[in-house]
Amino acid sequence: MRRTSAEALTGVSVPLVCLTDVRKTFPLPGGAPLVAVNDVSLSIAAGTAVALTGPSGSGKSTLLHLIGAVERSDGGTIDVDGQRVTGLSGGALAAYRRRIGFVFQRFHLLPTLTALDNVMAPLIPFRTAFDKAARARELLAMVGLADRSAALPSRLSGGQQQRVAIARALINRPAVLLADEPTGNLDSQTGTAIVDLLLRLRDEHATTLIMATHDTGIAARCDRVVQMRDGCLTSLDR
Amino acid sequence: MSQWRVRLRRSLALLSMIAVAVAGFTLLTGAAVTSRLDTVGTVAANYRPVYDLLVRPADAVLPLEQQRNLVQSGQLAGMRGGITVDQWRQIQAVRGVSVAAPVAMIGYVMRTVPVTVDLSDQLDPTAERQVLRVQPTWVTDAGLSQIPDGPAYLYVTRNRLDVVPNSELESGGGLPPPEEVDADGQRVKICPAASSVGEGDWLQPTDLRARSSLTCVGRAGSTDREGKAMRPVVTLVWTVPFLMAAVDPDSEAALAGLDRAVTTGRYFTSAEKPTSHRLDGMRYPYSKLPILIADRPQIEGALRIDVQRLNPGATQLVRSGSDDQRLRAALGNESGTPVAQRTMSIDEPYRTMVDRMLRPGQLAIEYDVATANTMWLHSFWTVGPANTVQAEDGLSAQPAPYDLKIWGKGADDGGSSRHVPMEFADTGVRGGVAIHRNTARGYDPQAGGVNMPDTAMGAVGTFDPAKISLGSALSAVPMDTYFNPGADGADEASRQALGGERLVPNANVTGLLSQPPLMLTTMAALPAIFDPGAYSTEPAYPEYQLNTAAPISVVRVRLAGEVGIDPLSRERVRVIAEEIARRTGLQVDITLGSSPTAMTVYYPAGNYGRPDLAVAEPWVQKGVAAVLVHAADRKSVLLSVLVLAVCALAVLNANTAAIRARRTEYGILACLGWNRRHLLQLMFTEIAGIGFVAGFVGTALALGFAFVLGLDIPWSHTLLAIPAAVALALLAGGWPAWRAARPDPGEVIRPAVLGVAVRRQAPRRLSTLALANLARTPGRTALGAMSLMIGVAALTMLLAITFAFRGTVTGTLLGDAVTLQARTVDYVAVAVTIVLGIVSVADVLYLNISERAAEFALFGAVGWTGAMLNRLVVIEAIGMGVIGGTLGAAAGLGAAAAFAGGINAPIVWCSVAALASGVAVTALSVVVPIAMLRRLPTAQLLAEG
Repeated sequence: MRRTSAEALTGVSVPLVCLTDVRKTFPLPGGAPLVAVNDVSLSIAAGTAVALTGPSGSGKSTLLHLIGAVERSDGGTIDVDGQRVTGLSGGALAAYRRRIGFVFQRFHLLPTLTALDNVMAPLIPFRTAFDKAARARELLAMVGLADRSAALPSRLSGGQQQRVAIARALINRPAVLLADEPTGNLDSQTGTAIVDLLLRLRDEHATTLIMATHDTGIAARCDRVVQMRDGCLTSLDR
Repeated sequence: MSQWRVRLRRSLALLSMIAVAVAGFTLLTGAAVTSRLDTVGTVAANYRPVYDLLVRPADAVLPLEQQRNLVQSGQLAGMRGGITVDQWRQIQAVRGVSVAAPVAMIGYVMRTVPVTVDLSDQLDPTAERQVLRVQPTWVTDAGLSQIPDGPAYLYVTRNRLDVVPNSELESGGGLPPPEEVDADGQRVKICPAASSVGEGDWLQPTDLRARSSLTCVGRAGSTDREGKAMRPVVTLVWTVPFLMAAVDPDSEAALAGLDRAVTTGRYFTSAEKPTSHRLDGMRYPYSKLPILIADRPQIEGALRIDVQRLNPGATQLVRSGSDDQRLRAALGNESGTPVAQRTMSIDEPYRTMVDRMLRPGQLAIEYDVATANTMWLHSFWTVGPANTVQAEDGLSAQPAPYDLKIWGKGADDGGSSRHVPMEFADTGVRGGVAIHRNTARGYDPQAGGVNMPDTAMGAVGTFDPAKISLGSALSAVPMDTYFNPGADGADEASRQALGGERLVPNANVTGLLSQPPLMLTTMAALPAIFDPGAYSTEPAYPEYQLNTAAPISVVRVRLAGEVGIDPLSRERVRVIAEEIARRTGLQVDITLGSSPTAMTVYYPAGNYGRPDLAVAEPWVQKGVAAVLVHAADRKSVLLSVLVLAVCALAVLNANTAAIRARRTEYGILACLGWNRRHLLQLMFTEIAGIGFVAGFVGTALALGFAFVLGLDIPWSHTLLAIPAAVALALLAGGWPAWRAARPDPGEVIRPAVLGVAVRRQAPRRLSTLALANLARTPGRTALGAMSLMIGVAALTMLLAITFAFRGTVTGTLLGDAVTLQARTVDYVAVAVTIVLGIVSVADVLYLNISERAAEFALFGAVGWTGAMLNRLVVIEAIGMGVIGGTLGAAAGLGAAAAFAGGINAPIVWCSVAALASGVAVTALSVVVPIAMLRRLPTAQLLAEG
């Protein structure tokens, strides 16, 4: 299991992701605000695969967005790998986002870019010490698409597109991989293959995986299952 | 929810675009119509100058005038007639002619006044004997020419001076010099008399050896030759050439209001003739010409006097007994100390001169060398036209050397040759200088050696040239008979040399600029001068002779009744002009509808400091009014068409974008079974509704701006705006609606990525990614580029129209006034075009960002900073700007070239300027889209895709 930087320093086991009383509301026209995440506290150890489950609108995606700093919380604190995420802004926020990998239900591939270029897309504006293309190829090989690197998204199946999206999420070697319904747009067989891939990557790279899903079968394959309803945690398995 | 928001935003965007287009169109067409009316109004108000036609002898017209449809000014003084009195009568008899006012040039008459310089205050009270030098310098040409005259010396002694009084002079004995009686009783001869010279020995009258003087003054009790007490004064002479011309009193009163410009005395009576007189005790009669004199000099010039006290050695020179010539030369070499400086302008001596001419009866008392000629017209001079050759952009005056001794020929008394203006020594550009001397017909040459002319001048009054009616300054025609406005510097160097002043005529009658006549007499008096044999000419070349058969130089014609700017009136004027030309064979120029323009004339450097100058003479451009009205009509139409096109295309863009944004919605409706008619109905109802509201908003905007800019928009335009907005919206929405009404339902449900299957170059940098994005949605990029292309093309066209309009009409005073008037509408047009461009491009960028919002959200989620996202948008915008701008500049250049009939440098610059502003506009137009980028709901977009 991967050790966090705090563990490395102190030798004491510290959770990689730590949410304390995190709250997120959305204003609604002419009524009380919608409470999407309601004072959620949650600790996730490094290298764990966590499944967030619950019905639609239970706050799974919002919680992922809060951890990924795509949304700002209205209250509480979020710490990831010893860094206080709540309160970050500007360049520090962008730098934090580069340490997180995000996989979406709809893939969000750029249609004009090849699979290889899509994997490299997050690095376009940056100079890197490593060879971007080599790393992208390596990642494509890892997701089993070494021979499809020159293909445009329109020439890839849904499962292949999601694999490209996963490779893209790993380009910055993130500590945490957030996946929002990664199999939602896929048939069950392809979905299973994608989950296999995600879990394999977790095993190989000791990445912490937090995945929102309403598929109980998929959830059961994770180390922990966290259930949500109306923005609250209803069950913390293990 | 978000679809509804997108739909509302698109509708609002379309509404604002139509409102801006309607406001721009209303404002601009309103302003263009007002500007056209203003132009025509200004032209009509300044259409009629003082005279409608100018009749001249055919040989008086320069080729340049004919080539460029011009009429020169300042020509009168150099003309020697060419039109007969019969021809003048023929012109008067032409039907439709109300006034035919002739001018017959006579020539220059020299008049002088003494200028007494009292040196009492400059004397050294302690010196026993002293010599003062008075150095006169003539300052002219705005101070550029400083012409030194011969110095006057004053010898002052405390001893008594004895002179032989005039009454005791022996006939033929010459003038004995004064004798200074020293304290020891010794008598020293001083101040030798100037030796008389024969005609053969004459120096040029501007030769300084002939122009210096020596005056000797003794202590109190010494008297001069006339028995008056001696005073420490020297007398200088100020000479003014008066140009004399003959006019017809009735015509001149009707045309120029000369009768109302009389300031003292009286005006001429109708066809006033010379009166016959006889001097007391004389056998022979003389005739007196009625004369009106200008009460101001109308020429420029000043006299600077420097007084120096010479070193004591100078007194010994005076007492050395040398002759006059050598003594003055020796005194010239003596150094001295400056003790005073004075400057006087021409005004005072001129007034004195006019005063003396008005009261000739008192002259006998003051008869002296300087005033001898005040009444008699012994002689006068004529000069030819300025010697010019055509230069690239105007005329170049050439020096015309001549023998200056000709001016001395008029000196009937031995000493007056030095009374020629010193300015004559400066460079001349007019040749053909001739003197015309009275022959005193009927005098018996043997009768006691009387040397009296048979012609005199009798001043009846003075007139003020400023009171002459010259008409509007914008349509001023040459009125050389009354004034010469002078000429400004035509280039920077000349303007600088002139110190911002204007070059005006001076006493050098062979200079470039000639004075207007300062003396006027009547046509009926002409025979006294022009009858064959009355005056004899020297040199006796035939071309120098007075034109006794055809003494009139020009006839200015005013037509009867109202003459308007309408084609019928113009045709009537043309017919009358042709009739005059047919009857007389003379050159007839239509000055109606003309306006002053600047003609560059190069004036060679003078002998006394004036550098080479380029000056702008106020010539007249013919037919300006018609050109102006035509250009204003054309510009008004072009502007309206251009703005209509720009507005329609801007609305087309907005409509296309709006319909594009709702493609999915229409696709779903089609999937649900709506047919094309249903879809079209839906779209057109929405578009018409938006157009209707936009019409109101646009009208309110237009009225607001019109109020702020002070434009007067016709009500018809305001009322038309709302139906026009609806029509514009429907028209511009027609094509996109037609296309959108047959959507491919599959396109709606197909994932976006399936639409593209083309391999592009790998974008490894922001700039290449931006370009790849532009290539990814070529239709939308084309839409954005087209918005800009239209804006830039319109701007190029507009700048070209404005330049072409100005180019057509400027260069004349009336044209400049009209251009100034039209400036507001030009600015408004440019502003409207640029605003429409900005709004169009911003709209396209806005649509781009809305449609690719999820992508931007993704980049944000993977760690791109806000600045990186902004850069991506700016690069895309500039890319679109460069494509659209280049195409627009090329299209505008082509259209402008077709309009102007060829490509020229200003048009190319217009297109470059429009291209630059187009790219700048795209950079500006990212402001709103970038603000929108910051408000993107990233999480929502990522969740929904």
